[in-house]
Amino acid sequence: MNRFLLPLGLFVLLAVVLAIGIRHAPEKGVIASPLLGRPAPQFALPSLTDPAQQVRSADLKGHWYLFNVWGTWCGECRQEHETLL
Amino acid sequence: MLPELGHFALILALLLAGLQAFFGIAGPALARERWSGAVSAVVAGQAVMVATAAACLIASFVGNDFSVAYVAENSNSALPLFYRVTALWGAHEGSLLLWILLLAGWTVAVALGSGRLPPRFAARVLGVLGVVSFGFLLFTLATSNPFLRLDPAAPDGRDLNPILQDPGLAVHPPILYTGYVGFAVAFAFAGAAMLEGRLDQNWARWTRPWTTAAWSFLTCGIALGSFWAYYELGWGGFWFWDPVENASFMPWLVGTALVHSLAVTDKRGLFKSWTLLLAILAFSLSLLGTFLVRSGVLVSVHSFAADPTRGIFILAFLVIMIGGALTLYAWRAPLLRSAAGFELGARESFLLFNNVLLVIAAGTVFAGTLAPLISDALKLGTLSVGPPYFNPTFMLSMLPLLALLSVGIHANWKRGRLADSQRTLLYTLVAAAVFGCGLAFGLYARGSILTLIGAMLGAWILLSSLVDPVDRWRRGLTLSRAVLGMTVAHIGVALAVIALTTVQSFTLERDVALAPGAATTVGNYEFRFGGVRPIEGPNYDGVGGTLVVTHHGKPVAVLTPQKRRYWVQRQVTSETAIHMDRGNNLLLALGEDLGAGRWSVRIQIRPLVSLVWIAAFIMALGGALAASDRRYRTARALATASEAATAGQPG
Repeated sequence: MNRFLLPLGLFVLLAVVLAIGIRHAPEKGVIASPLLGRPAPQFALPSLTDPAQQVRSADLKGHWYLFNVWGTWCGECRQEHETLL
Repeated sequence: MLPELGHFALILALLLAGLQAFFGIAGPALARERWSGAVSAVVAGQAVMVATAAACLIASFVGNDFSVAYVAENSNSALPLFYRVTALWGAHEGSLLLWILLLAGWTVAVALGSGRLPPRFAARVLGVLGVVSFGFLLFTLATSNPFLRLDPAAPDGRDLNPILQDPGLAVHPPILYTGYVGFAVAFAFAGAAMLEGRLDQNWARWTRPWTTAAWSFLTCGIALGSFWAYYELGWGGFWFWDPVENASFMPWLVGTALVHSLAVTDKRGLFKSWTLLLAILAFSLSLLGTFLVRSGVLVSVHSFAADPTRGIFILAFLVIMIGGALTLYAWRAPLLRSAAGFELGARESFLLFNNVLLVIAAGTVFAGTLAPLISDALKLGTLSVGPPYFNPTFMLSMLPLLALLSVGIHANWKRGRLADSQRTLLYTLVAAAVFGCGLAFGLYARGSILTLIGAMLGAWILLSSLVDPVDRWRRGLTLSRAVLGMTVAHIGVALAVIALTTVQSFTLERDVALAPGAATTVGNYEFRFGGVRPIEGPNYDGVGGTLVVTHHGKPVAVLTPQKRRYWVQRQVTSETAIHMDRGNNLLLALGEDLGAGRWSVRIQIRPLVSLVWIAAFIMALGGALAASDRRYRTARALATASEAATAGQPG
């Protein structure tokens, strides 16, 4: 086995992964989540505008609401930030 | 008329690039001297055509020609003239044109400098560059033509993305791309050597200045991008391990390895096949970066509009270029043998460690960047990889690299005797330990063990890289630019390590809600909010807040972060206010209107963060000094002389 063939082999593997990635690319418009189809998490958190006031998921039961979990280091979150706020 | 002229010029450039590739590769292969000789002229022709195309597109932007789709999408009649010019590279199509323009620039530079190279070899280098240029021109014309017309023409444009309306945008992409594209030159030298089936120390000497120059540009480009993200995106960080940032960082890591590996090949004739592989890898990673940004396979803040068709085209191009180069490598590299050996403690060993660790670092970044893609492709679910992965894994290879740097620069070539420099190393290490303890436990008094290690390593590199140059200077000896450049670049590394350590250890961040007249204290600073007032710019309006900053009661500055609403795209951007005080970088960003005059305000104090960018520019300066060393110029002149001597002999 020629060890100089190794880089080529690794590259072929990468190209296959990228090709599969492209086939999935059209779906990328929707950011998939591992939490899809699971029950919404329970929470009780202080309001940003008024820290004394608590917002509970139980209070929101029966209403439509958007619950967005995000992090400052998360690229997708930064991207959707302007749309959400 | 002008857009059609530009389109036509681009088509001519494509044909000329094809000719350049054909003459440059077939000429030497079939020993047709006249074909090889024609390459330079074709290069000049292609450069003129590409420059014409770019000029036509700029003219359309300046003249507000909204019948051109790309102009209508990325400009507006209210956009200031400066940004109408820089809007050229504000989106996918135009930035590709910039890529091609810069490649043409590098190619012309190589052609001008190639008078000192053996003609056959020079023709091959230009031929490989022709292949790269052909691929990019074909990609642009087939999938991303910036000259397409709108019918009917738009009454006005959709404006440039407001985040990009900033002086930082004017300089960041061209400099970053100059670095990216510059690795094409190293790649072309590698390609030419493989086509020739011969690689010697002269080859490394020819390749070195080009690689170092490209590396310097890339260093500058990444630093500018980081700085721009810091003050424009309003999130306060300077590095996010975003896929696009990683896309520029991986070629940088491999390029850094290449710069060092070339030194060994140049001085000792070793690591030949390894250097070749790194030259291929550095440019391959640049291409891969282009692919990741433009194909939509990865989601990122920086990415251009996703388009799978483009993705398939770039993937095909990647397979041809990288696959071709690696096939050639598998065939030719076994022929390259190095006779010389070296001992364990010799400089070669340290440069080998440097290379291995840098490639491992690039590998971990690569794995983290592509992990979401791979997990998605294998249907393992969606995965998000962030700093919790990147920071520790990156440090794992960087800490040993930095620790070995000080020892490595004092090691001798070939022989592994470190005894001569043991005392110097010990003294500098002790001084560095004192500095590290002072910074970690004295100055801020809340450092961790990593603060100590980081500060110590940084100080050790700083001191140990100064020992030899200062010694030579005191004895009245001159320093070559190559050595001076190396020293300057290593000082840059040391400063970057110290700065990153302080920033990571001692940053203060606070998000507070402030009513007019209210104040908050962060660290030693007090911030008093003076409320907001409306502002208006040429193509936006919004609000500007006022915050009076005091340090222990003494006034420091009045800062006015803004929130702008750009009219055309209705996008809100946050203009941060930044102030330097006592080495601390104060960053203020205006958040949301909380009603009743209260606003949320983000306050960040980052000690020495500016030094991160300054250090990067010092590294780049070191690279520029090293690339301009006389040695490379005389080496080329000698090569010409020997070539002329050979040519003069009757065959």
